[in-house]
Amino acid sequence: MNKTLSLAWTRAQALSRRWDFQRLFLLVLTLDALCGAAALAEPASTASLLGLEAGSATGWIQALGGLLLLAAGLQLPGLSDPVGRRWGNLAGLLGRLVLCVLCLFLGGGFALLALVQGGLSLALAVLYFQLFRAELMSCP
Amino acid sequence: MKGAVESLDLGGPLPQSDPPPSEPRDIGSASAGRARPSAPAPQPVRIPATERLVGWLTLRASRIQAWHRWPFLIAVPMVVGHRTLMRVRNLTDTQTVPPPAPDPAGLDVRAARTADGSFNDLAKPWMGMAGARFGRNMPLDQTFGEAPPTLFEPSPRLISNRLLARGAFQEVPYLNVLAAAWIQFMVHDWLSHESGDKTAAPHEIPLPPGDDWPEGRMTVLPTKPDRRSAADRGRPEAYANVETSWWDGSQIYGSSLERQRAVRTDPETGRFLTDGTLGLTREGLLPLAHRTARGKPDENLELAGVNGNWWIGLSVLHTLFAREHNAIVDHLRAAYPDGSGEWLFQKARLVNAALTAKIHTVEWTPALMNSPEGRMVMRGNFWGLLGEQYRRAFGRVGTGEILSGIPGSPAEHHAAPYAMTEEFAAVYRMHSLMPDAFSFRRHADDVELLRRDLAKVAGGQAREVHDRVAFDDVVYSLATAKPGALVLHNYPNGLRRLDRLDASGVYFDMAAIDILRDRERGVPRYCAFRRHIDAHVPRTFAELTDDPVWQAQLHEVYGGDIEKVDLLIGTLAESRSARYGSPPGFGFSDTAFRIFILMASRRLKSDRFYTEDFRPEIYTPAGFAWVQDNSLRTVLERHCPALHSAFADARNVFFPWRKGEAGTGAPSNPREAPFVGGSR
Repeated sequence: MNKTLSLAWTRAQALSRRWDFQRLFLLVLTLDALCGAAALAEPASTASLLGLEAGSATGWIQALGGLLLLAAGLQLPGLSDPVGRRWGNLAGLLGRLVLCVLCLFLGGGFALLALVQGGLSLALAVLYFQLFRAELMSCP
Repeated sequence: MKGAVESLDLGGPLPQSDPPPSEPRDIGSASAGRARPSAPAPQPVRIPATERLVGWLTLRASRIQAWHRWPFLIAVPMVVGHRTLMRVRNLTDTQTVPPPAPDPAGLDVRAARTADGSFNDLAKPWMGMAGARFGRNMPLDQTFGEAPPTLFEPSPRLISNRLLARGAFQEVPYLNVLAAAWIQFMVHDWLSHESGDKTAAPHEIPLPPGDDWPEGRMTVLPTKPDRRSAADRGRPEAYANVETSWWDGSQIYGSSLERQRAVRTDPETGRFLTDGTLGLTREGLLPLAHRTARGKPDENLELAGVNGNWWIGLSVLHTLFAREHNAIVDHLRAAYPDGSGEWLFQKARLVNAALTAKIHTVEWTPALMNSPEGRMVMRGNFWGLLGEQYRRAFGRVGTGEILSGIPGSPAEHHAAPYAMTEEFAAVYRMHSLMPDAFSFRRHADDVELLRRDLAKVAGGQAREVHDRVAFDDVVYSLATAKPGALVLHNYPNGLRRLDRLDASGVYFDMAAIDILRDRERGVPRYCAFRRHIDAHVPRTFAELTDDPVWQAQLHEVYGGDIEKVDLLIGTLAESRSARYGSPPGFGFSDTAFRIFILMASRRLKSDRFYTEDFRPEIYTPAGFAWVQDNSLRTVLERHCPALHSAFADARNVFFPWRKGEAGTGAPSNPREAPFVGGSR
């Protein structure tokens, strides 16, 4: 029998795609959380990395760190069940895209952040789309 | 977001790169000189603003390339867009004088389906009932039937011989024969024309020189048109659908109270079954009727709501779903012990019909549209973009179809009252799916038990197969065999010389009749048809199909005139057209798909029992859950548990099942086969 007609084979494909996505998503969320924690704990150093004046931006940087931590936490259900919680994940991908565009407009040290966010968002989107197709093709 | 009621103009017909001929229906001289029919006042079409926008964008994107050549994220919305456009432009009412809806005789029409399909739409109770007319997917002035000589140009028999006759069997590698049986099972639910008109002069189909047709003459009775009234003046003939047009299981239960009583009769005692079940024999097989629903004698023919054109595939599916009905009755009786037999029957019918609708939408159709796009579209029709899991956990979000699917959304008929259409019947001519020979094998070890050709598994002879082969083995045999592909030169030869009166020398060529019927009933030929559904219209035979041999054959048969190509031939030829033809992974043509996306949605969207009354209060909570929890896989698990290992690894049970291994099984005997399908 053609393996694409096999339930076991298509489910294994979908599982494999799911692990690919989950691995990258875990890495991205960990990076988000680390960045958030760093911004909370060391706002001055973070501001300097972003090319901002430490004194005036400290509060904003801490708020950004808090938001990053919160956003990472909110995406945890999507990490554990990426197919069932797909709307949360799609919102997360969209949010990353918006953040990327925002950082690009801010320029300076944010441009690097935009580059990293953009690259990771693209990779996540590609893997998520592959997971979606594999899941779909494991259905009747 | 339901927009305000408005008449929608989405920008006129899709411009083609080739200018349409001045009058495409010149092919049918019957239309010449007739008054242009006065179009009935169009029904206002309610289309949400987002879908209007998608329709408009689809029109623009279609000018660049066909929907299936775009990436997934564009292709799927384009399918929705095409459906929107067709809901506005491709639904035409033919019912000038609605038939009277009979008194429902005490039946609670809000909570149960009537036998004849009336009172589904409570405002227009005649809509979709048995005896109402077929509608159209084409403008009315394009649907005048062809008359001689163009009716026979080129000769349908020539087309049958030169373009349809099966050479080497071309199979669909990813489907099984249950898929071929299923579509006929469904078509019998939706539609049937009246028998041929014996009062009219028969069509005499010209035979090509050298044809060996018996007696040198081929005659076919014309289709009987519906009775005309003064309101039909200047309009083309219309034809009555003798079955209910609704997705209501009428192939199982019949389209009349009389037929319903027949299938609810105990075959042993001859008494009406008051417990709500359907009659089955002790072995769990269908009772014998010995005649069709139209009264044509056929010894050992089984009894069903519709038992015409019977063969072993239909017999299997009817048996399974009669058993399923009885299993549902048992389940409901356990949940609602106070329910009367009549109440149990009516609720079980609702549930059984909804289950077949679900199987067709999310199992059968995706099997034939084996691509991510096809699967997404059909699952979206049923569960919406939010998906099955979300729908079952949280219910619907809003009333739109896109997020949460059609079931449970408000009913809507769009541009015309609900009816099956002639064009839909035409694109469902899928006889090429049928193999010419059947091998019945034992599921345990795949040893052949019986071999028969198509004619010997048809009509009453299907029961002879059950007498010699256990039911499970028959199911297994059909599920491991492959159907024919919908391509040229693959029409079963058994159907091209069909002895309908059992060796009495009266033959039919179904292939020639398929061609003739479309012309006679005014279904536009291929190019005109495509022109009216916003699809690319081929200018040359090379644009129609990539196969150079086919191009030459089509050119010769049609005298070089692409506009004359018949709809059926065009849809089969486009199977080998990468650019404009069948979408990748699809078992049928893009032309047919366009009609399917319109009508598959419409069968759900127009039906009150799949829209506003698709709810536990009408189906009962236990019945509603049955629809949600079941599929063809669970039906097979329930009624053929011994076959589980054969289909366990099939992603879709319409895909070929795993074959048994030689030397592993014990012999099975049809008389000893256990019947486990609930009460009789």
